[in-house]
Amino acid sequence: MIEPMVSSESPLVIHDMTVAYGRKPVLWNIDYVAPARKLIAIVGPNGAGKSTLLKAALGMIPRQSGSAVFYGKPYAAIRPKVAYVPQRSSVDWDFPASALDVAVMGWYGRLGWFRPVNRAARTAALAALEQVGLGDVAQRQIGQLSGGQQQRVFLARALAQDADLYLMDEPFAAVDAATEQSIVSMLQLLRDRGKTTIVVHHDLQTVAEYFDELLLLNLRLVAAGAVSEVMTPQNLKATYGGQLSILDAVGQRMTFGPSGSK
Amino acid sequence: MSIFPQMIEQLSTWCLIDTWMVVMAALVAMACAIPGCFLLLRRQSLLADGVSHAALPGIVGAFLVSAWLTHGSGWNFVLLLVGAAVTGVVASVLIEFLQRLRTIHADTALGVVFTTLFALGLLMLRLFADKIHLDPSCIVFGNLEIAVVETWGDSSLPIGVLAGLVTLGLNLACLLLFYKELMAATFDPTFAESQGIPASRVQLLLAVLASITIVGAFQTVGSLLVLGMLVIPPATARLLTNSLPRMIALSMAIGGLSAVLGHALAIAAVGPLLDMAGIAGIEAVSTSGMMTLVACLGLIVAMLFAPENGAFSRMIQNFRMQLRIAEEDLLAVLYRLEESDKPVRTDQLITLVASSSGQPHWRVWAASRQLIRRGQVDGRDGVFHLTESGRMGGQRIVRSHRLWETFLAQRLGLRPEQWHEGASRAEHFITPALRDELAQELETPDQDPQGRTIPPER
Repeated sequence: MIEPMVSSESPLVIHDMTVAYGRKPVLWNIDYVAPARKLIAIVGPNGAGKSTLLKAALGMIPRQSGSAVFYGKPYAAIRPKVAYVPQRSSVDWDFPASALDVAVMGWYGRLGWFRPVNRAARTAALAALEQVGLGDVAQRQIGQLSGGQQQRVFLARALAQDADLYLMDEPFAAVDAATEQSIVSMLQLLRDRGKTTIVVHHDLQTVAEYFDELLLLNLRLVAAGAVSEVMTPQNLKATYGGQLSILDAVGQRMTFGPSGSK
Repeated sequence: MSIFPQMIEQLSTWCLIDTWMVVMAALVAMACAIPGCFLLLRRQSLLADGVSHAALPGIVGAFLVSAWLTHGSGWNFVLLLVGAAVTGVVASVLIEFLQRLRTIHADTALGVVFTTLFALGLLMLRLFADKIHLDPSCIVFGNLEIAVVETWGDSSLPIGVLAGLVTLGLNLACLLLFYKELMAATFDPTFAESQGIPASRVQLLLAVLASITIVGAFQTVGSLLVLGMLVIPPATARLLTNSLPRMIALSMAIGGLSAVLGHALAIAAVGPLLDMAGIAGIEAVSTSGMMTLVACLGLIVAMLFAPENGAFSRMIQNFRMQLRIAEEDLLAVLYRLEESDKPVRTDQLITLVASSSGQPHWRVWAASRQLIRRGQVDGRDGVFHLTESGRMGGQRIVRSHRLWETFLAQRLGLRPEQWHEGASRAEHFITPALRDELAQELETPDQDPQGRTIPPER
C-alpha cells in the first residue's frame, strides 16, 4: 500500500540533520519523514543518539545543519501541538511538588506568560492523571510515588497538553511489567484517536508487539518504515554490528584532532 | 538574681532604633527567602555564596560612579542595585560561558569566576579608597547599628529599611509574575523549554534576583551572613512541607522570625547569660550574628522534629515497625507451638522469641503486652494462649513465611539452609495481595519445601 506523502501533513519531517556535541558529531545527516497516526519506535544501541534525535528536532540541542519541521511549520510556531516527555531520571523527584502540580505543567505553554494556573488547567491535569490511573494520588508529593507512577505522572503531563504529536524519551525505562502494559495501551489509545507517538525504546523484543513503525538508529539512520519491513537481520546487524566503529573513530578524531585516540 | 527579670529589664529599653533594626533585618531575611528557595531546590545554594563574593566589584563600582555623580557627597541606592544586577549577570554569563567551553568542570567554573570577581572588587576598593568611604569589613560583616542611623533624605526612614522594602518588593513581584516559569525552569528545564519557557533565561533572572537581594542586604547583615538567610530558612521550610508555595511562605516567615528573635536575644539574653556565667560587662552582641544562630537553631529543631522527615519521627516510625515485627514473631511462634501442641511458659517464650529473632528481650516483652492489650493473646496462668484474632494473625505470618520459603526454593533455587532466614525477614512485609500473587505463581502449594503445611488464607 502506497500512501501519498504530503509533507505539511506529516507530523515530523527531518531533513539532513547533523548534530554535534562540541565538534564531535553524534548524529550524521538524518533524513526522516514520520507517518501520521502511527506508533513509532526509535531503537538503537546505547550512545546511538536516540534521545539526541528528539532533543535536536525540538531545538533543545543546537543542530549543526539541517532542519526539523512539524506539520509543515517550525517548532516554535506549533509548540502546543507537540508534547515532549523527558527521561524520568532527568529531574529531581525530591522537588516539593504534587503529582497534580507536575501534570498541570502541561498547560504552562498554553497559559503563557504572567498567567497563573487556573481552574481549567487543574481540571485538565486531574483528568489526565485519572486517565493514567493516578487520580487517587494526585495530591501526593512526587518523591513518594513509585518509579512506574512517576513515569505515568510524566505521561499525564503530556496528555494534559492535548497535543497531536507525542515525543517520549524512554517511557519504559525502569518500570514494572504492569506499568509497561498500561503505558502501551495508553499509547495505542492515543493512536486510535489519530495522534502520532514517537518513542525512544531499548527493547528490541517488544517492538513488533507494541509499535507500527520502526526507526533504527546508530549515529546515522539505518532504516525506517513499517516494523515488519525494517526488522530484518541485515538492518539489525547494521544497527548493532561493528562496522560503525569507523564512524565513531572519525568522530573521535574530529573531537581531539588528528593525534586523538587511535 | 534570676535571669528573667534581667532580660525583661533589658527588653524594656527597647526603642525606635531597635524597631527599625528588626524591621530592616526582617525585610532582608524575607527577601532572601525567595531566591533562596529556588537556589536550594536547584542544589545551587553555593551559587549564592559565589554571587555574594562576585557582587563586590559591583558595589565598589556603584560607589565610584555615585561618588563621581554627586561629587563625593553621598551614594545612590538605586545605582548600587544596578551595579549588583550587572555583576550578577556578568558572573552568570561568565559561568555559563566557561561551562560551555567544557575545558573545566562546572563547580570549578563557579570557584574561578567568583573568586576572581571578588579579588577584582578588593583591588578596586584599595585603589579608590580615597574616593569612596566604604569600609570593607562593613561590606563583609554588615552593621545594622550604623545602617539604621542613615536615613532617606530628610525623613526618618532608614535607608536600610528602604533597601529591604525595594528588594522584597522586587522579589515578590517576580515570584508572582513568574511563578510558573521559575517552578518549571527549576524542576524540569528541558520540559520548560518545550512549553516555550526559556529556562536558561529564567535561571539568569534568578541569579540576578539573588545578586540584587544580596547587595540590598550587604549593609544590613553583611555579605557573609546574607548567605545564611538565603540557605537556612529555605532548608528548614523544605523539611516542614512538601509544597513549593508553602515552602516559600514558610521560609519567609522563618526568616522574619529569626530577625525578631535574633535581635531580642542579642540585646536581652546574651548579657544576662554571660553575667550568670561570670563574664560581666557585655551588654549586647551583633544582631546579624544572633539572627543566623537563631535560624540555625530552627533548622536543627526541624531536622529533629519535622513531622515526616525529622530524625525523631523517623526514630518513632522505626521503633513502631520493630515493635510490629516483634509482635508478629510472637504470634507466629505461638501459632507454631499450637501446631505441635506444646505450651511454653510466658518467660521462656519471650526468651525464645528474643533469641531466635535477634531482638532485645524488652522489646519482645513490650510486644507481648501490646498483644494482650489488643486481645490477640491471653496471658493468664503464666502461659500464653492465642485468641481467635491472634490465631488469625499468626496464621497469616506463618502462611507468608512458608509461601516465601517455597518461592525461594522453587523459583530462586536457593539451598535449604538459606530458606529460613530470608523468609523470616520477608514475612513481615508480605501483604495479603502479595500472598495471593505468590500462591498463584506457585500454583497454590499446600506444603512448603520442608513438608510443613501451608495454612490457608484467613
